[in-house]
Amino acid sequence: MTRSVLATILVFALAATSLGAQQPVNEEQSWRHLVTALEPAALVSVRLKDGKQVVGTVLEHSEDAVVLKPRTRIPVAARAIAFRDIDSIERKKVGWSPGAKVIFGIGVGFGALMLATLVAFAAYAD
Amino acid sequence: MRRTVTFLTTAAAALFAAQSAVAQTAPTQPHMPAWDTAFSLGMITNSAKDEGDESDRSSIHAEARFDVGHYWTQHLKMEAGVSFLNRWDEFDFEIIPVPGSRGGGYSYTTRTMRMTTVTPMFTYQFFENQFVHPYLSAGARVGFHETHFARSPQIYTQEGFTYGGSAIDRTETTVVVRPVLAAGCKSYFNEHVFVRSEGQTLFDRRGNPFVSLRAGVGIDF
Repeated sequence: MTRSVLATILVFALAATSLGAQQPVNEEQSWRHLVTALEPAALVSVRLKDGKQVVGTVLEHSEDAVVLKPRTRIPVAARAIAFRDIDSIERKKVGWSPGAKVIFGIGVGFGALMLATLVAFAAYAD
Repeated sequence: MRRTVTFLTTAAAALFAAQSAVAQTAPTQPHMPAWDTAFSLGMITNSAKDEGDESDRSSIHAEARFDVGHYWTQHLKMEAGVSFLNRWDEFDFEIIPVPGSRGGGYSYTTRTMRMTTVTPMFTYQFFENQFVHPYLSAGARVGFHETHFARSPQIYTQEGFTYGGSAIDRTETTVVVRPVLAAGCKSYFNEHVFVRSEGQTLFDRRGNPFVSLRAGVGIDF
């Protein structure tokens, strides 16, 4: 009898713990905490719940929204994004411009071609 | 009357408030440049038949090209490119009858060729206001082939027979129009300056593809 009671109590206790673990997290608040922890002028990629994505610099934030300056080629106005609309936030790094990357790629390709030509020429000369 | 004035005032206030709210939330449209120009270098392949040759081979040429384009929308562009190709030579041997000789004699003519092309195209550019814009284009390549035929007056002696070839010095220009498809990418350094890399395919009369590759720099204005 005592054993059955203990078993039942244990089952209920486990079930309660499991239920507690499944309790919904306040995501809106979590995003707010995360944005608060970012350093000034952090570059982030924000995915919205409607599937859109905005990459930009964090300018400021309030209780409800974060203000981003979108990273576009021709500058556009900053926009406020409500925390409730955010699906994910990822940090981004400012790297080379795409143009510089392409030039680098062409340079490497051309260099490799010249090297291959030189090697072939040297082999032929021998 | 008083009720009407109150209603109109309220409606006007509501309208103004709504307009003000829209103005605060809608992002301002940036002023996008309507034109772009680019200079690129590349290699083009062409049908040798289109250059006056009788063989089916491809011929490869170096190309320097200027492009100017006008954006009708952020995605649609109409552009034209002018290409200058390197000059090249071909040699044509010709059997000529020589009285008394069974095999005949021969003479050769030098063909010095230069091609300039004009390529009007319609382009669809993907994405808006980004640092990378892939695009697809379709149009036609109009090739102006200028061929200079030259043969010196020469006297040959072969198998004891002496014969001569008459001199030739004339220039002909032919125009060949072929459809082209292109795919490329504009990769920007900053707001206006970009690298343009492109692959283009020309189709000859039989539908055989001839691929060209080029890369260059350009500016939006």
